[in-house]
Amino acid sequence: MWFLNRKKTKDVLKERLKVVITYDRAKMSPGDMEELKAELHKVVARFFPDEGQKINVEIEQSDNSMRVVANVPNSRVQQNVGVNQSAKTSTGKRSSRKSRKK
Amino acid sequence: MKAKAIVITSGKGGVGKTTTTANVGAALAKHGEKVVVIDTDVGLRNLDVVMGLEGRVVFDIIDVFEGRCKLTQALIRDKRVDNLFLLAASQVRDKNSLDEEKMETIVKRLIEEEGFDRVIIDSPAGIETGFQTAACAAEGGLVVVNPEVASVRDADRIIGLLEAREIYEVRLIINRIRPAMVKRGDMLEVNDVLEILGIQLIGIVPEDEAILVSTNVGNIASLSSNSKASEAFNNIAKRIQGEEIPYQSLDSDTGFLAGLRRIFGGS
Repeated sequence: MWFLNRKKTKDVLKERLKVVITYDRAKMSPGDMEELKAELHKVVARFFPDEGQKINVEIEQSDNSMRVVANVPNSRVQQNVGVNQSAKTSTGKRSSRKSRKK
Repeated sequence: MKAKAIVITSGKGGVGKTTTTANVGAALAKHGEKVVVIDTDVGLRNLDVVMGLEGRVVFDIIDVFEGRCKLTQALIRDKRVDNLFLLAASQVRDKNSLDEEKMETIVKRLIEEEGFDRVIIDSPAGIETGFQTAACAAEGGLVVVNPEVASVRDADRIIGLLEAREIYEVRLIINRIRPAMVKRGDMLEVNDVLEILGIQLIGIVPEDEAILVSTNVGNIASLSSNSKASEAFNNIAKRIQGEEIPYQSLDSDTGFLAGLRRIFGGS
């Protein structure tokens, strides 16, 4: 029946809010993120010409920190060993909030 | 809550800060505390009309700052309940007439000299000077949020700004929740909002026509009505005072099945 498959609008909203609030807390705009990705692609393409477009960049949030994680696959090596470059952004006390939740 | 001075804030306008200030303030007084509610929305004051006290404002908070009256002269006593007072904002001045130092002095005097148990500070919308002045003297905060996109986002911002001011006793009031919409998945549930914002809950207030009806005639619902919202505001006051009050059921009595149950006498 159609109404059993319908995605609840509140679930769509919840996902949207999580994304937008993550960017708000990181003091970063989705546009900044796109620019960062574009720059990284250029740099990475110089060293790994085949991988330039395969980088995955995202903001990860845990209880005590927030980090921007870029994942660059390196297929020169037989097995797909990732080069993982993480840069910590300053988050202050902000993301420690979850841990205080009752 | 340990905090005596509590700021009521939201970031976004129109979510019910002033209504919450009036209703929670009055309920705290009804439950035995000596309470003053302060309107800090200079130029756009509304707490006086929401409480039905507009006819009695002679002096306001700016008059106190600028020495035109004594602090006690600007305190308007609400006669409907013992120990409830209003300190009005000025309607003719602008936000720059308030500064943090003066605000802190007044709040301190209200607690130390006038013996108030609770100072409830109604903040203006926004995150600029008006909010900062309202928050400067607060030891705790109540963040009012509606379960919709803009309000939740702004609440997250304001929680961060309260933390930046080292105000850590911050609690969340989810206002204007519509149980029927929650039930069919078209409105965020309480747990969704808590998961996103990550702060402790202190109240869930359902959307309730009784609030508007009371406000129309200058009554405060938490004193004069038996509506669901009134009960919710009274429960918030009791939780502030440290009582453990279970949350009301939000089940809607207006749905089709509820209607059938009423007709056939089921429970």
